[in-house]
Amino acid sequence: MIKVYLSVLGLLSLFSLSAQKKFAQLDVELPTPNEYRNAAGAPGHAYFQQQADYKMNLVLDDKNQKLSGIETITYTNNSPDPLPYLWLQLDQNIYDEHSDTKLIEVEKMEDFKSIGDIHKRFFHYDGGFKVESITSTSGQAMKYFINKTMLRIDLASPLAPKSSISFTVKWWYNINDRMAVGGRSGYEYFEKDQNYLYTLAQFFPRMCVYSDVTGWQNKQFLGRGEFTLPFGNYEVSITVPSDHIIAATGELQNSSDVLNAVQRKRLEEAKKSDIPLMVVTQTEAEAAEIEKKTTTKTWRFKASNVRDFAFASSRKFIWDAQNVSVGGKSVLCMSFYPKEGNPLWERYSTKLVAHTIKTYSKYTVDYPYPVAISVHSKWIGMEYPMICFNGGRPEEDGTYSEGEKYGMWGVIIHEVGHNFFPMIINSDERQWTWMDEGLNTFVQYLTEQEWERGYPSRRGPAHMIADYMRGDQKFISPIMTNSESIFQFGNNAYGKPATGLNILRETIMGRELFDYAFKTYCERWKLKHPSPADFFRSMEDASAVDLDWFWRGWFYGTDPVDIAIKEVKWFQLNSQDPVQEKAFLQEKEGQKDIHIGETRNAIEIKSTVNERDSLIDDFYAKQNLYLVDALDKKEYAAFKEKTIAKDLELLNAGKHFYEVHFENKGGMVMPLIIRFTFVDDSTEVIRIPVEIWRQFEENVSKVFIFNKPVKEIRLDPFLETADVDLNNNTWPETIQPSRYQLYKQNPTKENPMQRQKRVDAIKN
Amino acid sequence: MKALLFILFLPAFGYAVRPHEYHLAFLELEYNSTATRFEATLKVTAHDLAYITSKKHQKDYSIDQILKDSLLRREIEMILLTGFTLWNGSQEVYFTLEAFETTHQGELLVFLTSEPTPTVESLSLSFPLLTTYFPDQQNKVTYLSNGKQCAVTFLLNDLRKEIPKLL
Repeated sequence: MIKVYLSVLGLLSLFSLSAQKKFAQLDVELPTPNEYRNAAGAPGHAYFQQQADYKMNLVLDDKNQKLSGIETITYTNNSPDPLPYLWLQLDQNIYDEHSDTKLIEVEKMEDFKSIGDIHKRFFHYDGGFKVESITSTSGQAMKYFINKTMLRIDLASPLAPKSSISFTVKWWYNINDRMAVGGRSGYEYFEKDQNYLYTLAQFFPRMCVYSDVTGWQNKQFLGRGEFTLPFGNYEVSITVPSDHIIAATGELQNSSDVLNAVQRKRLEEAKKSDIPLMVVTQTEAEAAEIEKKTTTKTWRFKASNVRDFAFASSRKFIWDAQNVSVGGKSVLCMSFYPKEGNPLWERYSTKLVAHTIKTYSKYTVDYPYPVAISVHSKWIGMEYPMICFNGGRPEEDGTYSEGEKYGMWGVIIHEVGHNFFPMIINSDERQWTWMDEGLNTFVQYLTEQEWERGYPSRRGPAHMIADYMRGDQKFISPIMTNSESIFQFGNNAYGKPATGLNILRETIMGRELFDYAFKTYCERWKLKHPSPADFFRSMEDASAVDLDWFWRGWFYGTDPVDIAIKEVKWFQLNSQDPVQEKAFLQEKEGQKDIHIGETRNAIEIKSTVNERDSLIDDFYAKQNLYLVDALDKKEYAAFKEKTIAKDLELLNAGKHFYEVHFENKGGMVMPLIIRFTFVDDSTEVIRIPVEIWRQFEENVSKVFIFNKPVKEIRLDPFLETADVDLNNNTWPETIQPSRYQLYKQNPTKENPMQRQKRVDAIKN
Repeated sequence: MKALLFILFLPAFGYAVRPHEYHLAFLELEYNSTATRFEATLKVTAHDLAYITSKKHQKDYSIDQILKDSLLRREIEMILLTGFTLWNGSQEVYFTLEAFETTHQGELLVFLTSEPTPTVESLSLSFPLLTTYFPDQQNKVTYLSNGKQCAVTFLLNDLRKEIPKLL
């Protein structure tokens, strides 16, 4: 500790001015506000969106795993622009033999290590849409051109603003074996009972979005960047084997044609129940698995104001349902699963759907649709309006690990949550994966924490992203990167944005401001098409928090957070009181280390010459440096005379001053959260807003004043900022244990491998 | 130039596009000067390992099932132990797998120690773990020394890289 005179506290800063780039406003990066999207981040007074309504008749050929359809699309041009052509999406064409998806895969000879690898290279199935015809309402063939996964219809005359056009597309395709080919939809074959379970999506030619942001969003589908779709109304008839049960986007219109009286009664009871009730039991599903009817039935569904339609069909389906009330409206939550999903699915799925709908509605907007469905399909999690396909399958003997259970819970919450992002808040997935996956993963975290206290969420807490944020920055893409070009898709588009929102909520904005702003964004853009700028602007507009530095660093940049305590200096004020100050000096002198020779001499040398001869010691030897003499007292009296009482009180208050120097080593600025632990073990946490870095982006210092000495200073003690190096966050320096050391510190904890080795030893 | 390609008659690894993949592994490496060994923790996505095993054996396996089965466990051990190589100067450092730990977040933690290594010279690493299965696999090593750390990233085509000295 250093005692200082007040005058020296006015030392000039030695910091050099830096470029001050981190706090620059996003004027260049964001589009100029206009009448379609305003500067507040809300839809502008001239905002428009197109509408695509579909009437479809579908036939599922269970024998040949083929889906065919005749769809009539009515497209309404709400834009101010005449449209000479229309663009439709043919997503199934990524399975076409000449698909770009295969061509753009990076390969090298090392990939062909086995004969199997070569077989895989030549593997082919006849996928992709077979478009048979496109005709006008009068039956006239329309001119069209297919460009890989996009189809352009050339109109005889431009579609004028505020007008509609209807046309009919006839198509079919071979459904992909999801287990062999992969993909978001397809079929799973159950060899034991020789039945199929179909989860069908992207199964029909769908209109592209035409908007003020992109014009036609007709960027090719390469596999990663998902879907960008306009809202519309759907009327869909699906013909399937008569013992199949169908789960689909929308409400079933003809239950009396497809369900028996008992099932209809159960469904009605479930609509009033706040716990899941069976509609089709496992016993009934197992009977259907054996019987395999060859007759057909047609199920009819209607869905309003949705951006897509998907369905699942199988005779293997068990079906349960319950009601949940949201915003005064009833939502029927349902699950469809084969017996292979039990016991996990009957116990948890529908309850998770209900919890997700309720929790997301609280943080975003009231769920506007009448049903929400979770369908079990192996290995996948994929989302569509009102319906999603989820993995999480127990072992064949019905047991499951805790990890499997949490995996299943997480995927259901996540995929049901997608109803809100992007099905309701309908962002451009083809361009920006983070706008749905990132925001959804964030609310997923909130929902998981409300499901079970201490839920081991995979993503959300800031410290969990630190591993990803370390290392070579050129292999970390900014969040604001097109979906196809992202390094590390999961961490980039899911984890980092979700973590960023958590940091905003917990640390930068606070829960109240964040929740209000986030809900404002969701309300503004529900059933509309937001862009990134709309999100960034809404969050600031509704909170009065300038977040441009955060969007710039976290969303447009890749710098990690690594803020270090570089140096700490401890001071106390010199009170000028000789009694106090000389006692302090004496105490310090007494604390000095003593040379070992001096200690030993004190014992071994019985007496020195000057101790024996009183004439040796002169004035200097006899003076007591710490004695308060008359002059000291006189001078202090004079000092008190000319000093006001308030100043004297402060000088004598015994305050401890700590000048703490912080270094921004990572690049990303963050607020400083500092916990001081005092000598009496009490603590105080001080939070300093991020703007402390506004002029000096690399080094800042701050003086903290306390009534008692500090024994430890810790930066980011609650792991709020995703700091990638915690070793430089403490004073005095404390080295954090490695994962290996933590493992070694807990040697009694038996891990599965060790336990299995003991089991193996018994067997042998 | 025509080169002969020697082929193994193994079944194909049918990697198919999965929408929500992870494909990231982390190695935390530290030299324990008291024990004169390197200590390491490898963090891998359990789903990725389970997926590889399931595809290879054409049967579904969870990570817990794999760890319980001595044969499958040995396969995984082999993938993990050959997934990275550390060089101390020009000497390759061999690691022994001590234990596994699965987390509820779907990760597999693998604890490893090296053979005795009396002195630390310039360190270099190759880290191709799972890159032959997942072309977008990204691996990172964090090297810890005296309270300091540095991180190095490895992608599909990256070979041996130096680990910077921590002063």
